[in-house]
Amino acid sequence: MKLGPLTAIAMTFMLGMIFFYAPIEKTQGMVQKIFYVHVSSALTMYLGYFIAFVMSIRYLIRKRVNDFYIAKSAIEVGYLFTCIVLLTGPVWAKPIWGTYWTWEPRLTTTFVLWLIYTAYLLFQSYAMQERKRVETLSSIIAIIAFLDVPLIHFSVKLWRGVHPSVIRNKDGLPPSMQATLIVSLCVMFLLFAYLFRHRLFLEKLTQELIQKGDQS
Amino acid sequence: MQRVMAFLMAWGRQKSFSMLLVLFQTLLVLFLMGLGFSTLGKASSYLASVYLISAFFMGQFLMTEFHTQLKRDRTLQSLLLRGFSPHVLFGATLLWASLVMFAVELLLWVLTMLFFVQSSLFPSLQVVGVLVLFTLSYVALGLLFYSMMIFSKIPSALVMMIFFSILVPVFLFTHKALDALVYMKSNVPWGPLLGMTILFVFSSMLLYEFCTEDRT
Repeated sequence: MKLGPLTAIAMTFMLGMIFFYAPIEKTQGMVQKIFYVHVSSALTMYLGYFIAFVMSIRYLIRKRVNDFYIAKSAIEVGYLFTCIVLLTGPVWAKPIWGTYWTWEPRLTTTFVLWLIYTAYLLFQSYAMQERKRVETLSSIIAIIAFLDVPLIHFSVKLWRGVHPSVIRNKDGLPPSMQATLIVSLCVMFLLFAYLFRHRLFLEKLTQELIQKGDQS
Repeated sequence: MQRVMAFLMAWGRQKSFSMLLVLFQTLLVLFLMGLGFSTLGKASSYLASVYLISAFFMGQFLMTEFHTQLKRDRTLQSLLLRGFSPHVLFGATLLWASLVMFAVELLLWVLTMLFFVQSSLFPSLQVVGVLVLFTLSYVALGLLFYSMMIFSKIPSALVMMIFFSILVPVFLFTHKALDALVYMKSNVPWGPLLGMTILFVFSSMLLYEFCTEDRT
């Protein structure tokens, strides 16, 4: 089966599990259902940035432009998942905390992560006059930016925040919720793979067009 | 009022980089000022925030001046063409720039202590240790990113934006450490500070080679 239809079926299954299989949380009610999308998107975002980190190192060592395209595409798709995290978070926070946004450590540091990769994407968009140099410099930025990721998340431990920590809490989730979370995570990875494949294909087409433009 | 708005909009259109730079700088200052994280419900001290904002802007000034001079004189290119290793060059510039930055930081420390009417104007050995680690991280990353301005035609504003975002963990840990030392708290994050400095200095040293590769 092709990846597109498979992703669509898997997403329908995921929504079915979220709304019909996973129980409604006693204190938070229906709004807690957003948690499955929120947490799995956050983990998928890390996957994207990690792929970009590895491929950027590979590009600097091997100088194969394909590695750079993979890194760039992974960051763009990872960025999309960061946006999902930043959008679903406030929707969940409003009924629970009474506010869409608070300068809580976890929220602030995720926002900082979003800023870092925004700067990377701006760099890609504006620094087009030196295409060859941009590939090398972008790889350097992607590596340093990823080194920031664990540091930023470790820094959260220094402050006590109100953001719940679901993954580390072993007793936090009943089995049905755990199963739904795992399925959501797998589906988000599938969605990532689908989007990433298309973005990579688009990137290669763009580069072919640019090369043809340069030749003519 | 209309004229002012029209002027600002015209300026924004013509100088989009400068606008973005102002936006990023404002976000960073707000971020540093809000590092007390209001949700904790305690009155946070702004001594460390004010000190770090001053140090950040002084460092930015030093980095820009230093690199503008090197760019104008083509010093780094000349040394690289004479066969100097990029690692040696990085180490030497890191040492020199760190010494200058550290001297400025000490001066700023005395001024901040005067401003906040503290009993002792001079930093303790522990504060000196934190400042040394902060300086090394700041300057190592600064040299890496600002060298992009020298070795390519990428706009300086773009480089600065990325530099601001990447520096956030450095500020997070330094802020926490300074706050703990000034107000006699026990939890100074020495481990993360040291680890981060080693990580940034060595990764910057390794990646500096790729920034300079077209000029050797």
